[in-house]
Amino acid sequence: MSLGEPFNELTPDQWVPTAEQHQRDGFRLVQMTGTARADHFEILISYEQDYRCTHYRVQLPRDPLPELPSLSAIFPAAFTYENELKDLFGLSFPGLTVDYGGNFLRTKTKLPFSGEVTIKKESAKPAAKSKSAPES
Amino acid sequence: MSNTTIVPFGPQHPVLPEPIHLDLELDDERVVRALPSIGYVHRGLELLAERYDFVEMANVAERICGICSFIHGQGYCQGIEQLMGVEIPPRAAYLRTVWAEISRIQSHVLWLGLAADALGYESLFQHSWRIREMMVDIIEETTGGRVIFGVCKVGGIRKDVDDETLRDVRRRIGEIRAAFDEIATIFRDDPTVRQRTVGVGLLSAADAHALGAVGPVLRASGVVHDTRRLGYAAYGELDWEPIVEQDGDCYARCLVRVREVDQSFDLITQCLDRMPAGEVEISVKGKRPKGEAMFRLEQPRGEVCYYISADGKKNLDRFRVRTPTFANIAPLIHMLKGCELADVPVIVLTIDPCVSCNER
Repeated sequence: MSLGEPFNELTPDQWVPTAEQHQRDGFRLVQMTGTARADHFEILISYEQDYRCTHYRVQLPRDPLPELPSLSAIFPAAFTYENELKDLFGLSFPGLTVDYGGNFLRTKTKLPFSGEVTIKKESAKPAAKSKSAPES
Repeated sequence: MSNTTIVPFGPQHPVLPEPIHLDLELDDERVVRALPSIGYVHRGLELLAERYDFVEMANVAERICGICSFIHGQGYCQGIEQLMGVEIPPRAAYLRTVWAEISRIQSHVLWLGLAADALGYESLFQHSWRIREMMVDIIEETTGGRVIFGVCKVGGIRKDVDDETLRDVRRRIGEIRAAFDEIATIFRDDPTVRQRTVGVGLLSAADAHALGAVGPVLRASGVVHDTRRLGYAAYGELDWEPIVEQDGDCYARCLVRVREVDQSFDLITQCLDRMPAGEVEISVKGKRPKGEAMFRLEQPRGEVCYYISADGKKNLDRFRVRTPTFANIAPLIHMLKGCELADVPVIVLTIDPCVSCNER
């Protein structure tokens, strides 16, 4: 249930003021996630109040080394999401209150989502034939 | 020079059916801090959404977890349906609600059994799982599966359940509820249960909110928040209120789950009494999801979020799942600080960690 909940674009310098404003207004941090694109990373954050979410997206260029100010001092819940983004995407979060130094997610491959891992490489495999399957 | 000792907890531990690791920094027997690490069984299921057809991906979504399997499938299908502007038939919505609540009962009763075992109640563990088995039997008879339901599909459900079977389910729900009432009394009133859980692993309402707790962990701290209030599936048409306890300790989290089992019996009964007639699926032939949205549902362990981004092709652009266990890691770290080493297993257990969900 989320259609109608807006996705707003932010610049990196709006990242912290927006979080501070939502914290003052009593919002809850719902989630943070990342997506690796060809030339940048997208970081998506969701705040919620009274069962209604507001989402924000910020784009970070891959070069130089992507970093985003930590929100963990504003929303304590942010530290696990930021450690996850750090371990999966190689993002840096200056000001991170609890930094596990890359030991939070013990994946076999270091920074598995930092390269082209999340970028589509092949066309979809066909669905099994059924009455409701879309036409190919 | 520090006098603290590091004690590893997990990834293999008797109270942990799945691998999660905590480095416990101890001052004598007291936990100074806990350092979590996860990722031991990360499977990359989110990535598969970018490669598989969105219709088939419903089967993968259901395999994120073996306990809340149906609700993962439901959340995925619901998200795709909303992106495509498809409204499923009312009977499908009601049957989805019934199966979701059956999932909640079997998950909570499974947890109650594990909790009983951790507290030293072998017989209570066996009674709990005996009752869970009765629910799993209903799952098998109505869906054909015991772990993976396989009935949720984009556009509704794959398999209708005839009215005679539904009447039988309603009768058996009454019997199972009576059996559950017997063990619920022990979880509520037994002095040993209370001694091991009351005042242990405290989490205040303010901390629960700030640390992003979800589900029974959040509601046991006095915060009224249940994602089912969004009214998805049939929840908007049923009479119910979120279960809330005020004390924020392990006992409160146990009570929330006991009361939620009772509530789920009631929700199933309401659904069966009001079950609409008619079709159970709608054709989505030729339709493709386009756009992006975040969908939220209430799993047994709490709020789960699905971010779906699609560009009108057969495979999704991005599929992301924020599981309740991940959200409850920060509150867990907070609860462990200052507790006794002997209480760590009970506290860890009361967030009902699901590593399988977490390592999707």
